[in-house]
Amino acid sequence: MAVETYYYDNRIVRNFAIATIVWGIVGMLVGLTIAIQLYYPALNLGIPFTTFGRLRPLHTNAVIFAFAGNAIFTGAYYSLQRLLKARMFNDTLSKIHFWGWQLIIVLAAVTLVLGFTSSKEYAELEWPIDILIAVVWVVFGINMFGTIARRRERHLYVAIWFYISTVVTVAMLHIVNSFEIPVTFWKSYSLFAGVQDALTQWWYGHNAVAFFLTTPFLGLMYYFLPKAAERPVFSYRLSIVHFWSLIFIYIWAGPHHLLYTALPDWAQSLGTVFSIMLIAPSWGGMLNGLLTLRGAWDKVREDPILKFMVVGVTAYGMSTFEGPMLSIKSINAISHYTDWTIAHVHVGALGWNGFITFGMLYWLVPKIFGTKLHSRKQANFHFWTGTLGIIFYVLPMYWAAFTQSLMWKEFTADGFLQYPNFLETVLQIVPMYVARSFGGLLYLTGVCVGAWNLYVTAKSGSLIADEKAEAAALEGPPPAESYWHRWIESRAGQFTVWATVLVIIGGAVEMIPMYLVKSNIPTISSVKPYTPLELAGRDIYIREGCNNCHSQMIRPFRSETERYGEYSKVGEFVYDHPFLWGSKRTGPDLHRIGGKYPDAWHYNHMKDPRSMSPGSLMPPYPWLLEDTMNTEDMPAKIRAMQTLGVPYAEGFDQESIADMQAQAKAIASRLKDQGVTVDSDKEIIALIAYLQRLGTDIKGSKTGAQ
Amino acid sequence: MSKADGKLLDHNYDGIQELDNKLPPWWLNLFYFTIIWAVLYLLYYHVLGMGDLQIAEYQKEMNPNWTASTEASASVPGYTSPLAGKGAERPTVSENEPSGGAGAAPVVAEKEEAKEEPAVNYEPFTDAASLEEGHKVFIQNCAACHGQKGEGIIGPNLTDKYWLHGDGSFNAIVKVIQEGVPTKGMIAWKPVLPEEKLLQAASYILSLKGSNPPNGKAPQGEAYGD
Repeated sequence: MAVETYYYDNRIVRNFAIATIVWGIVGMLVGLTIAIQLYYPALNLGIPFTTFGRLRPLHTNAVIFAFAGNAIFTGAYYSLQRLLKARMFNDTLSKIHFWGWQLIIVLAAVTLVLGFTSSKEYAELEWPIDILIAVVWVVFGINMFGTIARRRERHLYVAIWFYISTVVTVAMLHIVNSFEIPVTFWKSYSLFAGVQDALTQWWYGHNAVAFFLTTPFLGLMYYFLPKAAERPVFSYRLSIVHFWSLIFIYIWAGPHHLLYTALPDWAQSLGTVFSIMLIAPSWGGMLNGLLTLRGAWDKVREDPILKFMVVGVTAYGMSTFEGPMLSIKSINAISHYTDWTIAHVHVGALGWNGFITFGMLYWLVPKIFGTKLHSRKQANFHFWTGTLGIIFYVLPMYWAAFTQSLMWKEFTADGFLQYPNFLETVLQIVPMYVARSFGGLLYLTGVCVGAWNLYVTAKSGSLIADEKAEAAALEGPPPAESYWHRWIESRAGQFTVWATVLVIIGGAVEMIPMYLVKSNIPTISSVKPYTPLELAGRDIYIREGCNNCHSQMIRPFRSETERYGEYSKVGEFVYDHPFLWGSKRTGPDLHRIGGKYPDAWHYNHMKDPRSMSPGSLMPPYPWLLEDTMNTEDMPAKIRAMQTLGVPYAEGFDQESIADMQAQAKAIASRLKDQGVTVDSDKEIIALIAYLQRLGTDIKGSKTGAQ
Repeated sequence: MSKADGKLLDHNYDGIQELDNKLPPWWLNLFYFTIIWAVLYLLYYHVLGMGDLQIAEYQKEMNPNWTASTEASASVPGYTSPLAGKGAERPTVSENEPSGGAGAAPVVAEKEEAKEEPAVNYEPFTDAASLEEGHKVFIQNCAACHGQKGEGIIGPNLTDKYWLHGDGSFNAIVKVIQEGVPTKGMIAWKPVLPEEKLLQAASYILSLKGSNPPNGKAPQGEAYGD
């Protein structure tokens, strides 16, 4: 067996590391901005591009795909090469991957602030970028599997199992959830409607957490934690059991984002039980991380890298226990739509993803620059500000969530809502919003110190762009193995096939019946397609990101039907491409807003929310009063909807503009009667048309409005 | 590595080794427990049909006397679990259920009956405390459309002698507040405001008559009284 000499590519690792830090700071800065906007609405700046509804998706996309994404690639490119004893398959592919991903991030930043959005959470990017993401992801996949094919290590280490499941599953999730019909270059409608769209979206959304923020980070943990601790991994068997159970069970849990909604009960229950069954597989990862440190705790006291990792893994354990608890319906009834969800994801994001990333960077940057970490003191400072930042972030959010949820549900002795005015419940938690932004500021401060520390570290050394290594090539086919897992570990093809099969099952069982079985979506005959003007208004609602703060899904609770009206029925959403149920109520639910207020109320409220609701946190939307609505795309929109099965009469696309103008004139004249003079071609007219239609179809219908 | 550790396996990945430790028993038991729990949960709600699904739960919350058999005749979009063969045979609610406690909300049917009741004669409050309370209710709920001083913005001026609905008498004002004028965008406040608060607000509105606030909206409707 001839020993071969080869070189690890560290340049690509460095590039991804720089991108991680830069985008991390940008994404968190946007997060801090929107946190402040919640109690200081003037920070919305009164212009479209910087309002909460557009910046919130920018924040989530930036921290998930730009910060965590680049962190994954940093660690994967570093560890893959070493675990496989091979240079990355192809340097050009590495470069395409790197620059392609950064291009996607820049395009995302530009298009999201411009209001080009599909409205589906963490999948907001419009179809051309969706295609680009798919292409770049496949490039990463080819590069990874190419490297695996050329490996000089017979068996695949557990980190690589997690990377493989990540690559396969993210591709599947992204492609299926992005099925959409393009209308124009920057506008598309989801292939699915209503409950089907909701289920698909949360199958995606939940598993983006699973396969973008969990499995790849477990892969990173399995490499960098034992490396930093210089300890053997606690249990090989635990790795096997928790890996396979985790990837199989995770996929099923998506419906827990839709508990007590109009999603059929059987799907909700599957979401609940699979979430509960997920506790042990998730904790398997935490245990294998923490127990690897047995006997090394003295080192943890000293080493900031291990401190980051211990807190990171602990945060993982906490949020993967909390997640299943939130999936129990009686707890979800309290937590859903509140800041509890926000607290929950930030334990995971700031604690797990953030701290594993920083631990990894502090370990890896000195290595690839052939130097020592510039300042251990600064790293410790980063650790403590980060940890305190997390605490100051999540505690106020839990407090806010409990307070607001209890206020929403409080009845007086006479059977009236104690706080019928939603705004009252918001104003109560404003101090908590202030405290939260302080926590975020602390965390970001730590990150900036960390960035400086890593920069000075890199400056003090020089990049070892091509690091020399030696190993013998593998010869012949993989040998027979006595243990089944050793067998599959040495056969990447079979391994990938089995992982793929396991991740397909859960989604298929839940989604295919929802697409095909009619009884899941009882039709309501009085529910009709939107008029062209309402459709235009709906597109404005999507563009402005209203769904980031307003739900359109009234749960079957007395406290909600008293406040908002009849609970939402699944048959009401059959023409909703995409669905707009929302996941958070920073403002009230809007599903039954139609007809609740006069048109002029909406006009004045959009112009200045505080004129109608003193103290409101909502940003003003003055441009809607001045901008002319888009009519020329309407025929194409109608045709796209027809393709999706919305029953507009044949040839209606040609009449749609006239129909739109007629309805707009009627609304403008109604507004005039109420003392508001506005041209009928303004965007506000379309938005009012949509809002006044919302939830009204079942009124007076015997089937729906029981 | 403690003594309790299993043997070191001959795995070596870039220097990372692995131990052959057994699965922690408590962890394994936790896993089994959650799997059993999951099976029982599905059995309870979907196969045996013993637990209330969310709509049944809601119906009971609204009306403690509700039973599954009334559901069959009701027109709530029915749902039968594909997992359950016998959804319709769900046992009816125990008769020990408390019927209509203090917190029970009026059910829809009762609201409809209320319309046929003979008109109640209400008397306005005149004491300062009630009017002050009415003022608060007004600012919170009415001022957005009728103005901080009742001068009228989207909604009509409440300080003049012109009335669109009814004759401006206390009972007429109460009726409009209770039932709203849905076609004009006035909400029915009866389900939202407790009766006392509603009457306080109406008393406050009555007290505004002739107050002639600045920027008063032009008169609408018929003039009544002086």
